[in-house]
Amino acid sequence: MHEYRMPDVGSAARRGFVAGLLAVLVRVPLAAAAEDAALRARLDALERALRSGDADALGASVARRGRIHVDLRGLTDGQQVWGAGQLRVAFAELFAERRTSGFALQAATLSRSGEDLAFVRGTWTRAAPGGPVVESVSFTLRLESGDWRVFEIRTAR
Amino acid sequence: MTSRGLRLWALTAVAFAAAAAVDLARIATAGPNAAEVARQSLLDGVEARHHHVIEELARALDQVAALPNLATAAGRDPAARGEAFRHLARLRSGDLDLAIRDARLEPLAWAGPATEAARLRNLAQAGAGHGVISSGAALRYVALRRAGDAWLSAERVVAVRRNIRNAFVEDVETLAADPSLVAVRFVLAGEDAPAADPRERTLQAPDGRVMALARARETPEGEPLAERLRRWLAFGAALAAVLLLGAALRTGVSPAALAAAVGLARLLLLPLTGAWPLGEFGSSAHYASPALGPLLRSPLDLGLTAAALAALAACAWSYALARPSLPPRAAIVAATLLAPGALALGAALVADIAWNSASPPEALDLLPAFSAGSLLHLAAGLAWLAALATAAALLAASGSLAPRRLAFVFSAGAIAAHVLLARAELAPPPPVAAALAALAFGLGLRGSLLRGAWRGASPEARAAALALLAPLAGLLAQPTLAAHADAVLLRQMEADFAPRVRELSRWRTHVLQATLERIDALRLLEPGSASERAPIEELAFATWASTDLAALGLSSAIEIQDPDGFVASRFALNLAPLAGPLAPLPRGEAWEQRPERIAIGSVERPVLHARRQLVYDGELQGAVHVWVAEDYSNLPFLSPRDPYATLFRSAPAAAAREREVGLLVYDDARRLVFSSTDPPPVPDTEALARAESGPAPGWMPLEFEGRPVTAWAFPVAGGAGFLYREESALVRSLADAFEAATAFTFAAALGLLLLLLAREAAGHRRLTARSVARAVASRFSRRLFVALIALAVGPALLLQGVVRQLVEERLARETADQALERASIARKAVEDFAFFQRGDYPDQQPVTDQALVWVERLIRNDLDVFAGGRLIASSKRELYASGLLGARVDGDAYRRLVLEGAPAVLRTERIGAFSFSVVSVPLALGGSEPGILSLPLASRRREVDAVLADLDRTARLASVAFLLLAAAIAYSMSRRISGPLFALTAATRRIARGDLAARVEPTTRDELRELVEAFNQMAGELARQRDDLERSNRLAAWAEMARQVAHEVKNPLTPIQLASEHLRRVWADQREDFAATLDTCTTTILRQVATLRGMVTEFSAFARPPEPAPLDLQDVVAEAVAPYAPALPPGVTLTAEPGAGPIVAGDRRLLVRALVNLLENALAALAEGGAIRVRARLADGRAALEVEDDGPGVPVEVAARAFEPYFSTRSGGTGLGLALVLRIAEAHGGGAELEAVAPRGTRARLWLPLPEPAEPPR
Repeated sequence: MHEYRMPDVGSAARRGFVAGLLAVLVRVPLAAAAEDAALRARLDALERALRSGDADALGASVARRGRIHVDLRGLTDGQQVWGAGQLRVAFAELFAERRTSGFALQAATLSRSGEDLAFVRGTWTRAAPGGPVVESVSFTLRLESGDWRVFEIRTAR
Repeated sequence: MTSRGLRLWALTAVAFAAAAAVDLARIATAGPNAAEVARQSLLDGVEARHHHVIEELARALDQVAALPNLATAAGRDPAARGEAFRHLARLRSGDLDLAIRDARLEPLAWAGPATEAARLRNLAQAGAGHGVISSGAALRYVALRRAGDAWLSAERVVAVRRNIRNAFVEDVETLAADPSLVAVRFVLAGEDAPAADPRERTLQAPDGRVMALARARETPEGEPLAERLRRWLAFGAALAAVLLLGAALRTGVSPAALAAAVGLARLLLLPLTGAWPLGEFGSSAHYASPALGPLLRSPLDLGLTAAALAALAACAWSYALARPSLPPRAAIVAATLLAPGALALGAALVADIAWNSASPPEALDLLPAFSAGSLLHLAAGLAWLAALATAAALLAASGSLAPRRLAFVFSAGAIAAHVLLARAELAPPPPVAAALAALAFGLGLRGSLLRGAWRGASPEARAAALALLAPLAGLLAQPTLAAHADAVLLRQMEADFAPRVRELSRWRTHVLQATLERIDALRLLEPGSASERAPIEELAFATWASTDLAALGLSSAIEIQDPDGFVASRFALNLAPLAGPLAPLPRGEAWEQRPERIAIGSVERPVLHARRQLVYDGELQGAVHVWVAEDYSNLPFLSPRDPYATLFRSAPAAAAREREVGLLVYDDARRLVFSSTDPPPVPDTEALARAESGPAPGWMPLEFEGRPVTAWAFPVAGGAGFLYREESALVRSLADAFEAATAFTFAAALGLLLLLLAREAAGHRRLTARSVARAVASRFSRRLFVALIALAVGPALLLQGVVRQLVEERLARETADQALERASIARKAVEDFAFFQRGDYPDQQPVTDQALVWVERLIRNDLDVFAGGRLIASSKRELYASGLLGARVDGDAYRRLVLEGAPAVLRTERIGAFSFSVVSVPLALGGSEPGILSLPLASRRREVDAVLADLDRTARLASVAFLLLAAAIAYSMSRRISGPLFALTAATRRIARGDLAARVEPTTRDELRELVEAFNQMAGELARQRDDLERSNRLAAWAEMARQVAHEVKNPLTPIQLASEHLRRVWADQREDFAATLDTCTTTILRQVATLRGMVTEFSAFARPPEPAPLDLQDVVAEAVAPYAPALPPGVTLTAEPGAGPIVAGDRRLLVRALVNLLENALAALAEGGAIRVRARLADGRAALEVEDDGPGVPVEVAARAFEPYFSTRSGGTGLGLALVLRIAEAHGGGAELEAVAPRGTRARLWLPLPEPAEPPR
């Protein structure tokens, strides 16, 4: 005899509920992990750009449409607020005139502020006639549409 | 080119070659040491300036030492001291400070902020005449000299600390003309000179003591000779290209060749921008974009590129107008894609200017400064003109489409382009976009009319027409740049400012962390370290100045305690004194951080406080405290309320904006925590709820004192934040656009003037200053117009000056009254405080900084208190602690208030380029002499400056509006006066041409009316006399005609009569040859009758007046030639040259007849065969019918008489054919002529005047 069984609505709902719950529980850490990964990727790109003196690569790391605060002691006339394209040209000139011999971000200085700001410092070594110049440079990044972008570059005093 | 022009160009070329040779020789001789030579040259300059200052100080001391009764002056007698103050004030020049001091170096009389005695003791003890002393941010050269019991000192600031350098204080940099190239290390008096680096130059005092060490900064190595040569060659090539371009423009080359030359010149100019120092024009720090490769790397690059684009676009337009239209399919593509695309590219370039500028240009001053910002505006204007001309060219080439269809496809393309641009944030404001599209369409459709007018215009008129493009460029560029600058600002508010507000606390923590690390690195108070050697009272400021706190200009403070807990050094920016002179030391060596709230009067401010002990080698040396305010007041994007705040900022970016950004912050209980304006705009509950709700912030409208503002709302620490900026009022926007248009016009007028003068100097005759002057002078109306405008300029400028003077005086009076009122209130409060202070703490200063901060909040003005000329308390201690202001009251104020008993003194003080008024009043402090209370009116000065700037702007705009009105009136008046004269001139010309019906309508009621009526009367009289003359001529002509007819008819009658009589005689004689005779005689009679008929026909035609109608002469040719073509004599060919003939007003039948007569003449000349060519053409401004044969030709004497009646060289000719041609030509207002054609043949020409064009409006 064929036994008719009612569809197990309860178990389907349970499965859906569990899946939803899992999604909610997992979503936040996943999103945070994705942001951390994006930040790490951006910092790697930033480090590569400055180390190799690649202004275009640096331009790809800054805020896409907006202003970037730049204050580099001895290189800029006080604090400057530049557009992204302007920064690319200005840094290309700067890299051409003052050859970069080394750059390293200091991972220990990375700090997050809220959900969408991050600060980090790096050590920039430039060739100069009187010997290499080593300076600490501070970067401020913000989260733009899931991607971290630099919007402040400043020589730390 | 004229010989003078050639000489000028030759001179330029020689000068260029000489400059290049000198430069290259300099580099060649410098060889590989070129960089070293440049460095030494820089250091030579520094050393020369050092010696100049030393000599200046020594000279000043000589003058002070030569003062009469110096010993008396140095005494304590008030009258003698007053006299000494006057002398010193007279001797003081520029920034030199002078003082007469007692034996302990305490100033007795001074001019300028004399340095305190303590700072000079090292110098005096060392017996040095010259030395360097440090006072906060400033370093001063001092010359000290003994004069009996007294000391004389002269000093001046030679440098400021670079950490707080900004626009206001950089002008005190004396030794290093360009601090970016030279670094100077100063050796303070009493310090040992450090070992000099081999690259350093030692700067010594006259006694050999080292005062400073100068070193050239790291600079790029010198340019190799080959590179320099390449740059000179590029420069030369560019110069040659520009010259060739000029020559090409004069000789009229094709647009394509011109475009190629323009493009080449631009590319050749490329290497120039990086070759020589071009200041801000060549700096990428002002503007740069990677968009077009190397073409946009600086403001100058952008300007050159925009100019080249405009020139190329002009070529394209010229080319499009000269060529036939595109086929319909290509026309549709051009109208829908290419023309809107050209406008879109222009829009993208203008947007790029705003998005890639350090300060997006918003407004252009009516008299624009020679700056990179002005150049960016100019480039934007040129970019728009280029886009407009290109789009118009494409639309002109699309002329094969019906206008309605063209409008449709172009509009569709333009709208689509605008939507795409808007999505990419590149779109211009919709009114500008609409105006551009309409202009492009109008120019494209009606361009040929403009081209015709252009070709007919004089060079002067063309130049004036080009200059008129300037205001159009301004009207297009300014609103676009302002809109993009606003978009940039909104973007910053959203993405840059809001996160800084939201994360203020964490951001400050980050800055504090960096500061603490920096302080650790400085190793404060470590035995043997540099910090231990520095003057302890300046250590706090020196420390602060070397941290991010100074770099960012944050409200902050640093205090350094000695091991006993006493405050040894303190500096605070915008933070009131935080602790008493004695406070417990921190507990450990590690930094302790905690948030605190410090009370200033009734207000509490949240601060972050960090502190630690300073322990080295296990020994406690002291402690350091750092405070950073967590308030919002000095966020870098807010215009500071404190006028001095700009002195401590490295970039006054906020001040550069046209419209300020405001900030409102509410806490979680919806209490206002911070407002950057007073009173603040008030958001409603819904706005607050929306801002608090997060995480989706957004834009919303608010209202601020009745004016709309756009606010970015976002959550802040459980509360709400609003960043806002005012909407630009329509009137303001219109005024800005008007101002920019005027600025562009002025710039174009200036450029035109320079061009005219240059052409004048080059010896040209057209388009020179003189030719323009002649063009103006040649018309009464123009002279009148120019004279009236010139007359209006004077009163407008005078009125502007008078109004400004009156307003300035009134504001100064109000300021003084207000200041005295505030000083009166403050004096009462301070004196009361001092009274109680003396009672409670008799061993302390009668007034404290805390007390003055409290009074400052009461009167809303900073204040300082001096006793014995020295500062004892200030509500703005940082200005003195940093050394920006000297801690001694102005000598003149001291003399008048203390020594002469004046009730108040108003004077001006200066910190670098920042100047402000100060009011000082005497103050009872219970001492032997009154103290001084000073109120610096820096805020008021800022308000007054803002009012005056607004007034100046308004007055300038009003003056221009007034001049425009004057121009309109002048134009109207000149029209009213010269209009009737033009009408009279035109009517006189008509009369000269024989049109005696010409009359002028009187339009005025003055003397001109009488003139017009007299003219009309004269014209009427002339017409009447001509009618009479014509009547008598007609009668005479009839008589002549009758006589000629009779004469001519008589000739054939004779043979007829003779033949008839002979025939009758033969008949009567019944002769046999009757039949033959009959035949002969009747033949003769018939021939004579035919002759008579011909004569009658000719006379009939001769007498008939023409009936003119519009007529194509080519049709006349066709009609005349047609009957001959099928039956030409053998060996004769007849050719009618094709083409559209000129249109004339003529009688078709008469002209055909005249042409037939000419043809007949030609045929008669070609008895041996030959070719006849007939044509209708325009020649020398006339229409002509020509018949040309290659027959034997006509002698000159025959040609001269050929048109006389009855003159004929042919047997059987009536002699009336050519006379009739002439008669017909003259009846049409024309003429006829015969001329020989080389190598053989004759050309007969009948010419007719062209129809008169409509009288142009004047």
